Amino acid sequence: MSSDVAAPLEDPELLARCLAGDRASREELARACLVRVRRTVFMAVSRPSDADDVVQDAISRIFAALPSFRADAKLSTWIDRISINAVRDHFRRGPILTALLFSSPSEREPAPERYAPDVDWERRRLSEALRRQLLRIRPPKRIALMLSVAYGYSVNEIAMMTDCSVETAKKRLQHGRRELMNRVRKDPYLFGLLKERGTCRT
Amino acid sequence: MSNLSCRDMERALGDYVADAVPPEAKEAMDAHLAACAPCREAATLWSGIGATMREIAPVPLPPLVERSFAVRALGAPTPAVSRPLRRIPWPAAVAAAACAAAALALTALVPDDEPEARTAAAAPRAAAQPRSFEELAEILPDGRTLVHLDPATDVWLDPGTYAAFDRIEADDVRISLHEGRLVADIGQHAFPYRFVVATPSGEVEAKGTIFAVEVVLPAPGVARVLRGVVEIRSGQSRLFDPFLVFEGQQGIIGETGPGPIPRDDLRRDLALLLGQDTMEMTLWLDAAGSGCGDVGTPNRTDRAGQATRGAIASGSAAMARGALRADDQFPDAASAGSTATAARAISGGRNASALVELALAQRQAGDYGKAAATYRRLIAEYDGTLESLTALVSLGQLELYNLGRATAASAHFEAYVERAPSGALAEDARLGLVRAYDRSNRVSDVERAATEYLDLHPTGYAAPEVCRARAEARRLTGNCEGARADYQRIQTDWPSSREAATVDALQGACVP
Repeated sequence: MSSDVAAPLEDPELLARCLAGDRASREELARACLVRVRRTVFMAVSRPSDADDVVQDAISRIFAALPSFRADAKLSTWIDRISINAVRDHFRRGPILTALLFSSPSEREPAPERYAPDVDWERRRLSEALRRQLLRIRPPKRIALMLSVAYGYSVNEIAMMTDCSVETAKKRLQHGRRELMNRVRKDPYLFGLLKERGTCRT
Repeated sequence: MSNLSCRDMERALGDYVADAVPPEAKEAMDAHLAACAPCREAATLWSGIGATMREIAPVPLPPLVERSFAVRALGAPTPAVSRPLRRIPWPAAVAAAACAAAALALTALVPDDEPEARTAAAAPRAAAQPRSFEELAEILPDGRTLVHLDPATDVWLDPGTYAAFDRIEADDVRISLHEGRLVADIGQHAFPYRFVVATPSGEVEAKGTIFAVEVVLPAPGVARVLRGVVEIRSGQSRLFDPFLVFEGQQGIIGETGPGPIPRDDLRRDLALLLGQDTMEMTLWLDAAGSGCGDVGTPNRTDRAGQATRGAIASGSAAMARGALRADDQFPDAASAGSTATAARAISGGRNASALVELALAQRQAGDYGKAAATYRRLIAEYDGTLESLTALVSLGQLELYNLGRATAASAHFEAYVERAPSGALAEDARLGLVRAYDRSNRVSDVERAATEYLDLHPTGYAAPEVCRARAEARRLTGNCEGARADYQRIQTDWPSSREAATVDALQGACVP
């Protein structure tokens, strides 16, 4: 999934056309950015209206800063870093409010049942259930975890993207993993399905 | 057992699963895992977590919203450090582009400071992505915007309407109407389906309904129900219980109960639905909001228009729409310009809708037997209405999935397919047929129904399942070549489906 989404982001010609002011290319890049940023924010921010704000904020920052982008890192990494900064700013501004406002009754409701079994639907339910557990972890650990597991960034990259030391990033990741595992183990539905989905090579 | 402790393993498991440990450490971890069941379980679990986490993604935005947002982002000023305005989240701004002045949606593709570029730039972009706007939003000549949310749901927005499409998912739509007027026509959807219009004074929730919501600030909003039922919930006060508003009635959002729709309002909404600027209409409404009417649509010459031109009654004026739809499902009656079908639809409409609601409630409460009885009553008493047609599929699903009566279920699905071969629920009915025959071990019927499904819905949501059912049926009847072709098709067309994962094991099991 991420490869399709990231494809335009890794196209140097598209980037060059954007920087040259080609409007169609800028629109294409904006749409690719939107998909990537929405995914990052969706994993990190629970409340949909907050997530919309953060996405708006991140996209605006990306396009404002695009002329200053130097290709010493991948564009997708640069975009992720800006998205994470927008997320972190969001948490800095109102963590308590966010925590209080999270989980309106409708957000807590389990996903509705359907009569026709549907593989995609089942997977969506599973990933949504995991996301809910992820969202219960405190933001610094949550962000480290999602950068590592969902996007495959190394500890060094995570440290750079979240402006902390490598040791701190490592600790956050470790604690985040442990907490997520514990949370998953306490949820029999999630535990069973994830175990079924996982493989152990030995 | 290696020197590693389980605690060491726990720390490194994430990296191990992600293949991010050095080879020598990996060897030690492999050795530990081979000997330690709890760690092996943890590794399996963590691998499942990783795979699932990589799939976490929000529901894709509809093309209209995505493109509007992208276009908007390009013209966005350099962001201030402060938080974006919270009162109006960005979808509202996007929706403003779609609703407040629909033309803005098109002209916004090119910024105002490049007027000369507008025509030149719009043309190639339209050629590259001709369906982005056309698919979802259509700007009508009088300035209204018609938004096709999905094949079964349309929303009309008056000029000057300020609304936000907060959530547009396959089974969950939420629109915030800040000011102005929208009319929604919600067709048939898979159960459950939620459609909510939130106004400053409360919420209107509807199912299988045509209704209008109007907000004229500072007065509270008004919801007028043209067909079906909506529930109104006050958003700002807990003094008022939610209440139902039936067709032909209107409810003030934030107040206590329904009343009849004023005649002029009815005409306006009906005109909006039928796409007429002006229309001739005579209505006779009784105090309860029901009665008869005659709607003339002289400009319409299509089949539906012909049916509508007959006597259209109105417990709700929108019975016109109900009749129109009923005739769509019964082409013979429609082509004859029959008013009988319309009249049946109309006379049955109100109570039929109430029965649908009752059956839904019974189904949600788990009273499947009662729900089935309600559907049967609906089918028997209101034959020829859209509701009765829909009830055939609902009843079939109930019989099949909840009551375990496959033979009875297949009869209902067959009835639907026979009456409405291209109806909105035809795919569900054909899928139901395949499953029902499968459960009844009617092998040749499975093959026939599956072939019909795959011919008519080759990209249907259950196509892999149906293809596999056909392969199984062919295998059981000794048609190994056909079965093999189906198995191969599953692997080729739907390689990531659940069916594809088990094809290999089945492929060799056929004996001619």
